[in-house]
Amino acid sequence: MLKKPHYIALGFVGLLTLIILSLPQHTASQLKLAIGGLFLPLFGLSKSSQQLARETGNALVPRSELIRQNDLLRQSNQVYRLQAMQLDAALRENNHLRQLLAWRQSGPQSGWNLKLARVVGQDPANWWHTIQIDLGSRDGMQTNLAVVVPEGFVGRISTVGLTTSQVVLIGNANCKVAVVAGTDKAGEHGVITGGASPMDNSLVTLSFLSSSSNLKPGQIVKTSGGKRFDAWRHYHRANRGERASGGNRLRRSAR
Amino acid sequence: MNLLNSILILLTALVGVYLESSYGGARHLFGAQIDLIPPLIVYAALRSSIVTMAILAVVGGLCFDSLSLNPLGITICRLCRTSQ
Repeated sequence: MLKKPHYIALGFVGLLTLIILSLPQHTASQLKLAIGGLFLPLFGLSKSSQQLARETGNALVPRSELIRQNDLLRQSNQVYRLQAMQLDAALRENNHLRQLLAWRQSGPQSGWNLKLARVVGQDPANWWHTIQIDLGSRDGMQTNLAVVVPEGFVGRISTVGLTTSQVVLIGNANCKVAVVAGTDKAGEHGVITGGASPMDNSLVTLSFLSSSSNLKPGQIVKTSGGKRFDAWRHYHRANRGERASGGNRLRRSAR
Repeated sequence: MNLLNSILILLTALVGVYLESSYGGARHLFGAQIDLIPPLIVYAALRSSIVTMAILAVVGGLCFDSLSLNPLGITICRLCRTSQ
């Protein structure tokens, strides 16, 4: 049985919890950032120790290996230069054709201001798919900025601290992406959300499809080019489909 | 000694939450992240005072939620339930 001090402590903690849970959203997020600031020295320590380990590893690599890698890099560099020249020519031609068509140049595709970030942490809870990156408000980060990798769109920034930001990944219930399944012209529009399978992080749910949609396994799913995610192409393949209960809403699992 | 023990428990909680966030070895090995705070709060409940346990629940819960997408304070409830 619990003693009186236990009840007092439990009541105190419960009251404190209620107060914290009832805080306004903005205050709670500010408090979160302030508490998260406690971990900044640890994140910095981790970053510097990784750098030290990398420098130590570099010092231990034999000279012959470095020369071999240098030759490989030179060769690939020449190939990439040629490809860049071809792409520049294609870009100039594209811009010229756009000018001829009087195409609007103000979209995000006209010039991406990309910044490289390093992942410094993951969500400690198992049911959210978020990561922490080492860019914050001092680097110009803002909420809802898109986060991409060379393969495509991976998530959006949800919380911005001074030196770190939290990224909500695709697959999280809080990250919804408008997509088109199938070809561009005859594609089915829908919204990708997380939670297709709690055991498999690689699955997402494609919902808000029309009742007449005819999706088949193997069809390509890509971002539809809405305001926020314009031109961020992320390809999925429809994996399996099943009709969900209720109205004209279909659910599809895509990998 | 008691105060030192309490401080060490709180520091362990802080480092535990940081390790859960930064190192994904257990996540890759077992498919899920192992939570280090519940065992710590059980230890605190058995070997320390009720005040230390309550502070650990609050501090550990807030630290955990600050690095997660959880609503701030929700983990305190879970840790309190564990400690009972």
